Amino acid sequence: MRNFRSSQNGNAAGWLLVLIVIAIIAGGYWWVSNKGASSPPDNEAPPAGEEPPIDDNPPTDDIPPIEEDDPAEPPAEPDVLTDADGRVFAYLPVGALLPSSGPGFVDETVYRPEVAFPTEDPVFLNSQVYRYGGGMGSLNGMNGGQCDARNYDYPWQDTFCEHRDRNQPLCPGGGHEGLDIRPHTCVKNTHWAIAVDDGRVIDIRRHWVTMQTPDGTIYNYLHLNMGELSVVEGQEVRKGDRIGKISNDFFKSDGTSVPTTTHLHFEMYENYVAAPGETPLFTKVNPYMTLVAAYDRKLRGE
Amino acid sequence: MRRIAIAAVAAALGAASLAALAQTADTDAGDALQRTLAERALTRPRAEAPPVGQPSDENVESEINWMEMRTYLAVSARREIAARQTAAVVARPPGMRAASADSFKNVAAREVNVTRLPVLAPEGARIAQTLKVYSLGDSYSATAEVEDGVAMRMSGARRKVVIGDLKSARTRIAGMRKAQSRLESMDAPYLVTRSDSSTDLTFAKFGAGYVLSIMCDDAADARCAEGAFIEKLASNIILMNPEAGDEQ
Ligand SMILES: [Zn+2]
Repeated sequence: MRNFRSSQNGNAAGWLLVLIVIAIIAGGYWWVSNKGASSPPDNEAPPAGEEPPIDDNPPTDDIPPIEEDDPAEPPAEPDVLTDADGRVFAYLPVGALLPSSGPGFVDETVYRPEVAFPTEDPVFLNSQVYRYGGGMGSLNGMNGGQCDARNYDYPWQDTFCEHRDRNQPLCPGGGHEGLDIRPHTCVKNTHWAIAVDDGRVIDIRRHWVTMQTPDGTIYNYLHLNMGELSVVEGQEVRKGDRIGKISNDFFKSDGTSVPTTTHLHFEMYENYVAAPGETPLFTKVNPYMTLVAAYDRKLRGE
Repeated sequence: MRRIAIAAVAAALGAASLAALAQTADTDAGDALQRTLAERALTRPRAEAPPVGQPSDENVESEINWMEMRTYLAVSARREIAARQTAAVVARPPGMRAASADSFKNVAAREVNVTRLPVLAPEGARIAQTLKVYSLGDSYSATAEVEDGVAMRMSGARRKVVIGDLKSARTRIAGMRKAQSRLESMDAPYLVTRSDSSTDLTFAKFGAGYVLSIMCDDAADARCAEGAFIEKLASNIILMNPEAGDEQ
C-alpha cells in the first residue's frame, strides 16, 4: 500500500499533491494496460521458443471478452453456419497469413475427413504473435493485451508457417508448423481440448500431450493445464474424450516456466504419399483445412 | 506550491492526451486490417454446402519387407565387425543393431511384440534408461530423454494416407525430396525439417515411414537449430523386434 503521509498535516496543498499523484498513477496504469506493456522494441527479431514470450499479464477470471463484443457486428444469418455463441463462422483461405507474419503454406488437403474438432467450445484460430497481445502485434497496428475482444472473433486465420526464427524446407521464411487456437473466452483452465480420433496417448511431457492413431497420425496438443489432465500416458482414447483444459503452460525440462498466451497449439504429423505405390514422407502437415472441415461438421451437429 | 501543482496536473494531462493520440493511430491501423480480413473471409452455407478443401483419397497399407530388414541387420553387423578390425577406427560405424525389449527397463515387451512393423529407436545411454514404447499395431512411438534439455520421439507407421494428385502436394513432395540426403545408418534418403516446437528427421525403410523428433528446451539450442545433433542421433539405430514378421 502507498503511504499518504502528506495528508496527515491538514495542508490543502498537500491534498492537491495527493490528487496529482493519484492522477499520474492512474494515467500510467491506463497507458500500460492499453499500450505500453505489449509494445516490443522496433526491429525486434521474433524470439525463439514455441511461442514468443508475451509481455501482458496473465488473464484473470473476470475478463469477459464475448460480452464486450462489438455490437455493430452483423447478426447471424440463418443461411450460413453459426457457432454455439450465435456468431457467423467465417475463415480466411489456407495460407493467407497476417501481413508481415510469414509466407504461409497453401495446402487444401483435408487429411482426415472424419476427425472431431479438437475443442468442445467455439474457438478462434488466429496468431498469438502478430495480433493484440503478441510480441509482434505492433507490426500490424494491433497493440493491446491478449484478452482484447478483437482477438476473440472470426474470421479464422491460418498460422501454419508463421514466421519464427529459423528457415526450414516446408516453411521457407519461418517455422511455425502448427495452428494456434484461442478458446472463445480469454479464461484459462476452462475450455476442454478433446481427442480428435480414436488412438492412444503416447507422450506427456513438459507442456505437451501427444496422441497417435493406428494410421500413424500424430496429434500434438500444447499448452494445456498439465497439472490437471484427464488422460495418462499409454491410455487409449476414443474420439471426443476429454484430454485437458486449454491454458498457457509452457515449460522447460527443469520446470522453468516460459510466458505464452492462453491457447492450444495444435500439430499433426502424417505418413503420406501422392499415389499409393510411392515411398512415404512422415512429416508435420498443415491441419488448417482438416480443422475447417471438422468445425463445419461440428457446427452442423454431425 | 499551488502553481507547481497546477503545472504538474497540466503536464500529466498533456502526456495523457499524447498517449491517447498514439493509441488512436495504432487502433485505426489494427481495426482497418481487421475489416479487410472480415471482407476477405469465407462463410459456410447451411444448405447445399460445397465440400471443404480436398479430402484425402484413401489409406493404404504398405507391405513390410521383413526379409530386407533381416538382411540389412546382417549387413550392418558385418560392417561393424569390419570396422573393428581396422585399428584406426574407434567410433562405431553407423548402422542398425538388434536389442531386445527386455534390455530396456521401461519398455514393455508386449508393446513391441504387437507392432506390425520394425520397431526402431536411436541408441544412447540416457535414451536406454528412459525409453518407452507405445504400440497401436500398425504404428508405434518410442519416447525418451536424450540429454539434459532434449527429449525425443521416434514414430513409425505402415499405413499411408494418399493425398491425391494435387499440384500443391506434388510440388511439396518434390521440393522436400530434393532436400534429402542419405542416412548412412539405414541406407535410406532422409530429410530434416525444423519448426519452433521440434526438429524432425524423416526416412522410409522396409516399407514403413519413420520420423525421429527432438524437442529442445530452447528452439535456438544448436542441438535443435542445426542438423548435426539429430543426424548423429539417427546414425545408430536399434531394432527391437528382429524376429517379427507378418505371419505372427
Ligand atoms: Zn503455436
